[in-house]
Amino acid sequence: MGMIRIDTTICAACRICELGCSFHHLGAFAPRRSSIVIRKLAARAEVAAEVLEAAADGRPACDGCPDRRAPVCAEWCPTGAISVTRQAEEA
Amino acid sequence: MDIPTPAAGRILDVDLTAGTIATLPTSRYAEGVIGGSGIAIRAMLERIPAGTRPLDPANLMVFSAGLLVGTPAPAACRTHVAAMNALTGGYGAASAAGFFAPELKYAGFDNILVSGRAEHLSYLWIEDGRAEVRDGRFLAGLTTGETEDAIHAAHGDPSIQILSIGPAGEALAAAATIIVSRFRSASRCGLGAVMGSKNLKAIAVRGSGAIRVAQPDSFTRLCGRLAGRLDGSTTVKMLRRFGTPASFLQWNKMGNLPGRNYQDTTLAPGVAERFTPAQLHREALVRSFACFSCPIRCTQATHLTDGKYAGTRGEKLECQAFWDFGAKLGADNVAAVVKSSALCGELGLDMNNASGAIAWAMECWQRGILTEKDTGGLDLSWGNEEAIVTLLHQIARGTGLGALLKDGARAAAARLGRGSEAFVMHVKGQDLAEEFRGLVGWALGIMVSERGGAHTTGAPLAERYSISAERSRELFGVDSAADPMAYEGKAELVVYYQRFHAVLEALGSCFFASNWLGADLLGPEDYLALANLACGADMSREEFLAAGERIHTLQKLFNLRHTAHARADDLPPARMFEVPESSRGYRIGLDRASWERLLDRYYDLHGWDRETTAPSASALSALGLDAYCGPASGHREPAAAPA
Repeated sequence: MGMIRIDTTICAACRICELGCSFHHLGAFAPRRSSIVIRKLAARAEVAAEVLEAAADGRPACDGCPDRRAPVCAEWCPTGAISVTRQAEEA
Repeated sequence: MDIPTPAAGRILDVDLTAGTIATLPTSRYAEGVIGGSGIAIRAMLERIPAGTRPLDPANLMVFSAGLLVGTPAPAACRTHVAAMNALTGGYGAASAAGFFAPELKYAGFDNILVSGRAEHLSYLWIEDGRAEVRDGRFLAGLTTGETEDAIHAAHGDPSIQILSIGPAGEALAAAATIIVSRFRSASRCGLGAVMGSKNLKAIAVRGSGAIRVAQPDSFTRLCGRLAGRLDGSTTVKMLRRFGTPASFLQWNKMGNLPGRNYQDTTLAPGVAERFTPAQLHREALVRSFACFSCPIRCTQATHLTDGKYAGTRGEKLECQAFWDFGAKLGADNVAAVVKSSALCGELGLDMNNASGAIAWAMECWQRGILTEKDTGGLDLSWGNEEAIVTLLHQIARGTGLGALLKDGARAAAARLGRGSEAFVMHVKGQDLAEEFRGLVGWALGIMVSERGGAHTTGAPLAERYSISAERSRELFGVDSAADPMAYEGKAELVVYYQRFHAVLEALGSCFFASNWLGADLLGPEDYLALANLACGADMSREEFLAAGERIHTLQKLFNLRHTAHARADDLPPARMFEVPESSRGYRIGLDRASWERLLDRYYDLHGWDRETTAPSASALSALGLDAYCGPASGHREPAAAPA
């Protein structure tokens, strides 16, 4: 488990991270069941983002993708907006 | 054929008159047409009775999410809308990117069929397999952005996905569009008016279900590889930076802009430098966004912070806005184009159709056919941006001169008379949106489009590519794709893209990731691989593209049933065979005899009659469409030769 940070000034709100996250949890594509939440605030040309540390509204908590080299959200992100600090690095 | 795996599996069937909502299995209409728009045309052929007019309750609207929508397939995000066309009376369709279609699939539906007319203004609310028609009177008169805000507030959830009409759709203006995800437009064909005629202000959806594919690991790996290819494309890099407006000045350099209602094909001297990409960046662009599951991110958010339009916000500014307002109407600055484009979005206006009608009016003014007495004091001189903004408001509400212009230039000229018919630039009744005298294949694709013009049903952009004859042959099977004024091979090129575009629409994939926009982008074989892995199928390239031909043929059959369209309707307006004095020196100009031979070749490739354009029985049979043979099914045999 590590810290996932999303730079909302770079994020393009394509929600590919949500697709990847739900694929990691379910083996299927269900953005509203991902642990990462991307919300485009179109009227203000802004993006809001959140990574869930606890399960909520049918969404599982982020488990940091322990089975992968890097969390799937960061791997699939096409803009480089998601950065990850693994615990070992934090220590 | 089994239901493809990434399909949600169900179609929502809404009758607004009866107030009933049912569901159907997607397989009911999916046979041989992939999904999405293919399902739409099958349902329209079955359900829209002969004699129906576009704004009748009997017209059927179909909102579709294509087969790959909801998966990570690059740019598979488009919402497709089809219905009888409010301008041509024939096939009507449009699509928009954004986020609505995937949400619909996650809510459990591939398509929504809407017939009838609600008693009062309503909206359709869909959530996880359920749907209800709700009272929409609190949305009356709102702009599209206000409508989204009001529905979000009513449900307490700003993440709900919405498509809606603005005042223009409520006023039943044939120039009305449908706005998807706040800033995307399903433009052309007057679909906003059809939605308005049903008293349907919006559709709102929230879906928390899942979409599965047959071979998930191989499929997601392929998605990643294709996204990587897109990432390395120079076309994509340009799109990311400026969106499509980056090409505006290239079109000008070719002498291929619709200046002053197609009286000029270039911008006036000194104007081009006001529209450089750098200028655009300085004045209007804020940041880039992507649509759902799209690695391209061609969307530019716009925000005017200075001048008389300060505070104007928009998104997805397209090159077409510059054709429409910059060239066609003569507005000579970025701010006026950005303002007009954003205003069309808020009012729910199709900027192509609205600007087409205004261009006709401005030419009538130029020639003294319309005067201040007709315009209520408005000065319709070319480029008068105050008049443009005023007319957009009037068209959207059917007030002032807008009452005359709201149904397009052809309807306006039919009412006005005074010789104004000569200045109507239209395709099958719909306002022409593009200059095409310098690109033969582009011209053909636009003129023969079953939806009444526009360039997203077969018109190739390959004529602007810098590719060798060998590369052209490799991609398209003809040597001359990149020679704009060659007639040879252009019918073949258009048929190639008609099939490919039809397949992409059925998949729900945005054309911007395809080789339509750049020779280095994705080809049919890439989408075939995605479809096969998603469905666990083993379709061949031939079968895949035959599905495109089948969908396109069904659209042709719809037109044969509901309109009198024939060969003469595939002929460009007379002005398009002339070359303006100001365009001497540019390599443009269509030739009538060559055009006629091109049409012959085009019909022959499809197996359609050269006069009636009706598919032959053998062409139908080859596509498994035997059931559509015979006059009772809308198939007209070629007319007998006069005695």
